Amino acid sequence: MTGLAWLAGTRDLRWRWRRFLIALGGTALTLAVTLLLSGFRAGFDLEAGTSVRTMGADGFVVQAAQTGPFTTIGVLDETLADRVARLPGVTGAAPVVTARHAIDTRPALDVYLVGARPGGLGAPAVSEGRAAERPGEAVVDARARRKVGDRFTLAGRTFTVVGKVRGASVWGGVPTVYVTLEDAQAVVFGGRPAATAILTKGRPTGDLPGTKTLTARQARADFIRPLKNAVASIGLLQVMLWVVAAAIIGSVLYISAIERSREFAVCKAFGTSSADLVAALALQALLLTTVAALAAVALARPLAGLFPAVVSLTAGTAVLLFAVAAVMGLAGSLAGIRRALVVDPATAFAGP
Amino acid sequence: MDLIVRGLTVEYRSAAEVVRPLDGFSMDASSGSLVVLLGPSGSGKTTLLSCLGGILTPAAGSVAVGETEVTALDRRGLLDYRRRTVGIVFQSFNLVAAMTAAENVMAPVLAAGRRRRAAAGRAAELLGQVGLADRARHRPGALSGGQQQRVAVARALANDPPLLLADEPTAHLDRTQVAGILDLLRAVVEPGRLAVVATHDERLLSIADVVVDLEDG
Repeated sequence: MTGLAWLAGTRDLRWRWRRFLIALGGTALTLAVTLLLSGFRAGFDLEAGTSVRTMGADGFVVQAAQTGPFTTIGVLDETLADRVARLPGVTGAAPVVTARHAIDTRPALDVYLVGARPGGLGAPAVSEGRAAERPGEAVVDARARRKVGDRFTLAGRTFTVVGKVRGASVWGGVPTVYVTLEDAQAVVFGGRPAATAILTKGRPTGDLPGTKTLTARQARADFIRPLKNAVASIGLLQVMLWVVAAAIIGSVLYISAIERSREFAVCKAFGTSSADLVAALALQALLLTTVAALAAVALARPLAGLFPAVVSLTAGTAVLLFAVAAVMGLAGSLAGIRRALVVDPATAFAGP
Repeated sequence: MDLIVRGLTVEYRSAAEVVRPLDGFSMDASSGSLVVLLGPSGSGKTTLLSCLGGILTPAAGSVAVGETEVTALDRRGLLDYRRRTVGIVFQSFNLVAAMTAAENVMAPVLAAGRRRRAAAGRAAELLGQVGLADRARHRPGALSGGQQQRVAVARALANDPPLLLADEPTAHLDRTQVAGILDLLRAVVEPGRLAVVATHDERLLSIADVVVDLEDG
């Protein structure tokens, strides 16, 4: 970056500050939305990771025909847990019942039901209150908007909230409700002593007939799989917004380049190199996108709180935003740069 | 550095016909002199300045400034020539509106690869010489026409070029401002520097060492 490129770039930004401010606002809003979309997408991963981690299991034994413990329901006998516990590599095993359900309110509140033995694998560590220990007790995620002591009905059964957990939602903000294994069996299997999966501490070195064991990573992938289309759509939307951001920056720089044609001609006439002109315009694009990205980060934080879904804004996402914004800004400035490069220095001699 | 122009021809197509604003033009000028190119609009004055400035490539003929055969220079050679050998004062000042007077003068110095501090020093020196030391931080919009033209002259002299070109330097100035610019142009022509001024304003004849009437070819 030469002194002339810096001087020409920064002075023009200052001179046309109103226009650049408008572009900055539009770009910042666009980038903030892309950042929120990134956070939304990362939220799916975060939820899946938290949900699997909360279960505290190293392995998830399911029916061999099942794709995973969360997205398809396969019925296992509860007593299978005792046989799994005796497999080499396993130090503990417990049955768990998981299913999508809804709290009987108007409108119904979708929840993810998890039934586990009190204090065993699958039961969460509560952040408020205590764990569900008896039938009719439930621990709910904060997104269920229920306080300790509240009562609710699910599948015609009444539950009392005895504890709360945070960050235990799935699929974009669906709160998890933890109940005892017996209650979950009553809701899902009509009271049969069945389970949808057997959670293990330690990983079995082999599988019982008709079953397979998924790792925590595979279980997490199973959690996210139904969101594949949503994730792809979000990604596509992000790309479109990047293009919009590039178009905003590009159009402002292009209009400026048209207006500055005489200035470019004069600069060329006194020997300014093409590299300096390119650098001056690229500098403007980079400064605009960097400031817009900073504003986007500042905007996205309070906006994230307005979303019912989990929006996970991480430092990595912000860094990625700056990198992509810089690339988009430079791409957007190409039309303006081309315009500057084709200006004939002889036009500097033209009259006013 | 002396100027030698031989058989200079510039042509371009306009609709179906070929227009030649310069057709076999020749002239000589010695260093330390002020040459006035006189002629009405369309007589080829600006075209000639563009060729002398290394901005326009002629169809035929040659331009030599000192030892430099301008018409034989490649792209990089022309860029270097424009940086170090030529300074140009444009008809409508053509100052960069976003930059202060000092920054306008600094720009060619920076383009020539010198550091910002050196450029700022040179700008201060030149603005002092043209009587605008106290207006260095003003943008062109805050300067009168005469002051802007003085800044333009200072900018043209920024890299101490041996060849100064001026295109209609009095075109947008009132009577009192013209007198000041004439004095300034005369003053900057010193030994080692040649000035070529294109104009249709006959008041410039009073400061000319050589007058080339382009109307007569």
